[in-house]
Amino acid sequence: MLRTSFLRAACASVAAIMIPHAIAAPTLELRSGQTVVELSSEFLNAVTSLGVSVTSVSGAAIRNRNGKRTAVFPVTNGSVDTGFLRLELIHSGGLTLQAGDTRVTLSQFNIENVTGGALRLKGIVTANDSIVGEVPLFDLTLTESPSARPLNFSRSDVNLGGSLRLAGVRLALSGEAAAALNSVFKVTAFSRGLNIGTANVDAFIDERLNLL
Amino acid sequence: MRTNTTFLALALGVASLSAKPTYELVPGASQTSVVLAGSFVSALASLGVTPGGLEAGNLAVSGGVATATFQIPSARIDTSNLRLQIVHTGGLSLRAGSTFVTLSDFIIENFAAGPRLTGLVKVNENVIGRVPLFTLTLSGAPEVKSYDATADAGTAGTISIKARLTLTDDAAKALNGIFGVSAFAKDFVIGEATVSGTYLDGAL
Repeated sequence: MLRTSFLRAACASVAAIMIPHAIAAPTLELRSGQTVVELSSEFLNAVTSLGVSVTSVSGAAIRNRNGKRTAVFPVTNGSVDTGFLRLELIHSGGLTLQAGDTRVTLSQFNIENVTGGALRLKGIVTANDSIVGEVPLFDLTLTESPSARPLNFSRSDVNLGGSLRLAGVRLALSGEAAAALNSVFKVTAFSRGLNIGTANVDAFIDERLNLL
Repeated sequence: MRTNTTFLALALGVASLSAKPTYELVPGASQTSVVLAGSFVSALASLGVTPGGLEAGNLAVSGGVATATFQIPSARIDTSNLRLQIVHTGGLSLRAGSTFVTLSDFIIENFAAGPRLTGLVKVNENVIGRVPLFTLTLSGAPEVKSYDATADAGTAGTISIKARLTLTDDAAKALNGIFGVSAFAKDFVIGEATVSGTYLDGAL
């Protein structure tokens, strides 16, 4: 069990990452996996009242599960330094918000704290087929300790050494994202801190890379 | 943040005027190859630094020429506004004695400044952070070719981007500090890169 300043900063109630000895490399290299976001009723009600539809793009998916609406994004690569808890988790896919002829796509999500600052999710914003830029979209708060566990199976294409799980990650709309969405959809309904949902990240550890 | 927000709002307003598509590259059919400059390889050798690849195919030597190749799991390229982000997997290692440095998960983008390549830097398995490693000097605009010359370019085809990579000041200082040398300098030529992407459904 490794105590870190990162988690104290991210969430006062969480101060440890659970890493079994079998995969106790200082930095875990991640390949594949998924992040599932249970979208909040506040967010869904907000977009519905504004006449904004939400759809998935490029490998992501939106599902209805147990009465809840979830969005699933593939993890493509990433690293987690368990000693200093610096992490980066890069995703493919994204979401498109559309109202009339106005279409905004948020994609290539990157959960990270390696460029300075607190844990956040950045993404590429594309408006009506033109890239606007990379924008901090959501502020993230951890509510549970990240944990890693070994797997008892392997696949031939990837040397899977285990999995990393970040559960109960709260997503809140950033100020930059709120301003952008209000501007593009000509509304004032989006505000900083809007509850977007709760994310669970499950990423596979590539043991081959961790043996280097 | 006011400046960023204002810029973003303005940009979003302008974006709707554009008619050209943003292309999304297909994972598994897109990669970036870098032919490493002989001067860079020689410099590493003279310093006793051994380069390596983190994944199969990341570094190969043929005919005395070293080529680094990295797969692209996701990328977006806006050819009308020349904004892009290209994510890569894998990376390179640099080893000298007990010092083991990895440069990985490269991202080519031009949002914060001119075109550059950033990478996740780890020293002896500790993550240092994402660092601007190389400056890109593009040889020209991205070259888009439709598979079907009679069809709209937004359907399917290839995108090629060629650029020269030179070391950033941040990366030069970091490498000098890590290996205890002074040989790395800003603008040191690393090699010539070619992004070879395949796209589908250009209008996203």
